[in-house]
Amino acid sequence: ARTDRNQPITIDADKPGTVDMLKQVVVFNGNVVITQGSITIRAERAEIREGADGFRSAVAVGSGGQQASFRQKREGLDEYIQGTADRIEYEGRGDVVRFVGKAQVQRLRGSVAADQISGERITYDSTTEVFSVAGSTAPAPAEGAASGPGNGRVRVILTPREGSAAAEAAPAPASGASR
Amino acid sequence: CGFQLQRPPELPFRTIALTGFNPRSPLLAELRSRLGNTQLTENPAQAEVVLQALTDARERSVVATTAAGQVREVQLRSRFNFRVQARGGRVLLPPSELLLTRDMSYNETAALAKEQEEAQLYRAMEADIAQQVLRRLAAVQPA
Amino acid sequence: AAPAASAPSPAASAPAAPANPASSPAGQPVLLQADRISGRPDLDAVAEGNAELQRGPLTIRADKLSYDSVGDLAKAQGNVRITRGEDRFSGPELQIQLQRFEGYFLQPEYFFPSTGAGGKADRIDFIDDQRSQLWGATYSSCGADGSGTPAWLLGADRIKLDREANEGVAEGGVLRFYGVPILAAPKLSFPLTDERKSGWLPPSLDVDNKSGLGLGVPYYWNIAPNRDATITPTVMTRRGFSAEAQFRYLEPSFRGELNLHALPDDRVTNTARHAIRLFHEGDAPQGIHYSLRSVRVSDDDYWKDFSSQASSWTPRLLSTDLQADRSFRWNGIDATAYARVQQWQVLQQDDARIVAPYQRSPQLGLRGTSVLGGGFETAFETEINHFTRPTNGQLDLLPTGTRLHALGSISRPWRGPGWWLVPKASVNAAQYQIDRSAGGLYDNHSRTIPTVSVDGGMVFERQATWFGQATRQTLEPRLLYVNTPYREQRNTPNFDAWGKDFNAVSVYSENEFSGVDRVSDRNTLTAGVTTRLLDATTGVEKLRLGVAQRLQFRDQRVVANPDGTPNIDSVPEGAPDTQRLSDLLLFGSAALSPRWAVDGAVQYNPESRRAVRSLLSTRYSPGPFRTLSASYRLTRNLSEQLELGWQWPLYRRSAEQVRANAGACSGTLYGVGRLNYSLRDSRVTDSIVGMEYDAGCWIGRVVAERLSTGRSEATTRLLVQLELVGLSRLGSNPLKVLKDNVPGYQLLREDRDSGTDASTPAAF
Repeated sequence: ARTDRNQPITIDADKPGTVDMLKQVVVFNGNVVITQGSITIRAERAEIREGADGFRSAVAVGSGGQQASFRQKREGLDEYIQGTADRIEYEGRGDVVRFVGKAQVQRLRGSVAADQISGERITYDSTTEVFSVAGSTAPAPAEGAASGPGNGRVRVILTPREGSAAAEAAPAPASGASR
Repeated sequence: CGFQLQRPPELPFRTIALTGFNPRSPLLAELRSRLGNTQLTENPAQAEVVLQALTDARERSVVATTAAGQVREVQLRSRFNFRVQARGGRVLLPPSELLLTRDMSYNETAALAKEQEEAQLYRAMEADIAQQVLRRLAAVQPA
Repeated sequence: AAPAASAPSPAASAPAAPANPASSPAGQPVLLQADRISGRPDLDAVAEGNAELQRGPLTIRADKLSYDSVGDLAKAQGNVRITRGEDRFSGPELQIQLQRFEGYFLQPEYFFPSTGAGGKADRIDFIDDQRSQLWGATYSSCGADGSGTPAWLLGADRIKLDREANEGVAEGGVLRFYGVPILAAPKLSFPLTDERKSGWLPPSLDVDNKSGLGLGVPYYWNIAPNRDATITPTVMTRRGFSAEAQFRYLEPSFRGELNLHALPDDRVTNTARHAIRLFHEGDAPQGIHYSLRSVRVSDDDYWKDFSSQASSWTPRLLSTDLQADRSFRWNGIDATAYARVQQWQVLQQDDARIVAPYQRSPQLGLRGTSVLGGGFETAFETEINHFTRPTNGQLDLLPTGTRLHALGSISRPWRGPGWWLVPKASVNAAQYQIDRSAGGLYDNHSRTIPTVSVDGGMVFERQATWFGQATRQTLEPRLLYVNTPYREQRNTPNFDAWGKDFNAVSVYSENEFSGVDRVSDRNTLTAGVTTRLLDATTGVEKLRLGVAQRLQFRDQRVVANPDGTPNIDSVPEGAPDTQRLSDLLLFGSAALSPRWAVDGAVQYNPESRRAVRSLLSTRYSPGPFRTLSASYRLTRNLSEQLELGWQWPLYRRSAEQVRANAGACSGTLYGVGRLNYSLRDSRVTDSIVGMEYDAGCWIGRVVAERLSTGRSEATTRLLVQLELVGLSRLGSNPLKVLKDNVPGYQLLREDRDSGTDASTPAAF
């Protein structure tokens, strides 16, 4: 939510944080969990930096099979933005989170995934609520190649909200329709 | 020289259904009479093997006429196109065609007699086709 | 006759509603894929870099795609490609409301694989998923093969498509062939699917030396799902106005077809001319099946002048035949009761008169078979026939009268594995009641002729390899002994008897005549053997050879002349026995390889050491659309005929040109035809020679047909036809002529050709 960025940050980790004076960065290792307001970031390793303007930014990195994960509640809605990637960068000042490396982001409406986004790099700006996803810089695959997130292509699945034109015009959905 | 008496082809299945035939088709009657101890069922679902008739036709075309339009020679053709499937729909025999032809002389004055002779030739061809179909059915493995 | 016309949907087929409403949840999910996507949840999304949008069966691809979730509106720019089921559209810009499928497509191009045709339009308005409108649309099956303008092109100002009503309506339609407009129709409707639709069919063009140029424009009337009619008004330069109607009906208990052809005032003969052809069959209660087949024409020259409307395979003998029969089982007897009226109309011609066959008016009969105890089988047939002469105005002195006859037989068949033996005794009894005895030759008389016969045969089999293939060879010896005493048959008229051809079937039959009135007196033993080569696995018969001959222990006095007419007392009383051995019959047929088929039969008379009847025919067809056939038929002093038939590519565009063009065999010129030469008349009796040019998206056919109608007189007909693949056929229909007459002829466009009935018409 919008108020998240001026909430206190709490960080738990297996090992105590070590300060890297040179880069003005505090580094945590081992099951790091960072929470600030409705935001929760989990990763194997995390670096927290405090900017001159007082806003903090975090870089969380998964390792081995375990990707870093991010979860945040949307302003005024019972909806959550939840995603995983090899590396997650969160900037407190602009409330922008960047998922890099086989990124998967979902918007959950209650318990159901409304939108599913996958691609190489996904950025989500929760103040303007704009997400953008780009493929890897590798050259675009041949036309026939399977267009999946793996080869530079990005995928988004949008499920129209209940009241939108798409839903209305659909003939009365059978009872089995999923919400 | 290796000849022995031919055993009539025994069919390696107990029940068969004949579908796709015109109920009055003489070839259907001919096939029915040659099934021996294989049982004919009306409902294809229960039959181990289903023989489906795709075309079962008697054809006739004029092959020789006099200069004044009198028909002198007619070619009679018996055409039978069929396929054979096992109960589950597995194809035992892909669609194949049996086509027999016989020639018959013709004269308009003998229309009544030629009609009977034509019927006799068609029956002979249909008996031959039925025998060939039976022989192919005998070579089928429904299991 | 009404030409075949099949015009499946030429223009955009509006997309079907989502597979089925029940399955689509509240608005199906929209899948977006691209190089870059950005957007706001539940509001909008923009995809760039070969973007792709999928929703249910609909797929849109474009350089840039934007989707507005609230309005469910998709906009696509740049190289837009949309597919709906099979149909494909492409163009610069598209905007569409996905759920209601409402929107527009600018400068679209479209292609419909079902017809292999497509075109361009200025704009398509999708009204909903059933209706759409194309503005300034073109349609052709000639792909842009780089050869500039397509060979033929149907252009229209506006095409409205309504899939629900199964109708496409083109306004201001012009059909151009190589740029030349050959057909313009202000309003042109066509069905979108195969269902039948009323409307005008493409006109047919017919030229022949008897009626001149004939132009007919058929109208197809889809009266009801089970009834339809085709009415063809035709104008002929020499004969004037005529109309043809074909009415077809299919009811629960009966069905039929009625063809009428009327020429009120034939300017050549100044008479009214007409023809009626009716086929009607049905099932009445109590299992009675009845059928009526009748052909009547107005005058004797009808068959010469209107050969395209020729309605009987014997052009000069037209029958009217009403039959009814009922089969039943009655304590052990499988019986059939039947009744029939058979009348003839003979089209006489002075230089080649036809002696008309007898008419049965009526015939009533009962026939049956039953199996008695102890393995005995009986068969019987009793009939009463009133034989009359056709009355169409000729003096005819042949006898008429009523015949009551009974044929009966009892046999004791023994059948074992690979052998059979069937002794049989039968009787042919007939009682004649003469109305008109033509010179007192015949009077009321009856006669009974018994016959005893024994038929036995065996089938031997062995594995053998012939031509390197595993085959089963059978050897089938057969013997038939027949003994029929001579009975006086000169004083009974011959209504329906005629000599059978001497072939593999008739050689093993008891009576040399078919029909009832003549029974050949015999004391003969017929011996023969047949060998067959069967493919071991499939059982297909590869080769069959047979020989048969008859040994006569006593001279036969009731003999069939070579031309089949019965000849009684060919040998005067007490003359020395002469011919011991009958003619030798050799017969064979072979299908040695899929390309070659050979068939042959020779009936050789040892006395005159000459063939009495012989048939030799061969057909070589190495591939599709390539066939050559030749056959020689001889029936001593009756007919000697040579026939050649061919369908062969004469000129084929070089292979790369063909590959460049989509059509498999496009740009190929085919020669088609059949020649029938009668050696007795030393004259080509009838012949068909044609050319077919297949340019991939259109086929041009020119067929000349020459039907000999007299010693020195013939009808020649020229049929010209242009088939626009995927649209329809214009011009008369030589296809039926080719298919009926050229052995092995194969249509160039078998799959999309809806055959010769006007089942899916496009109305112009």
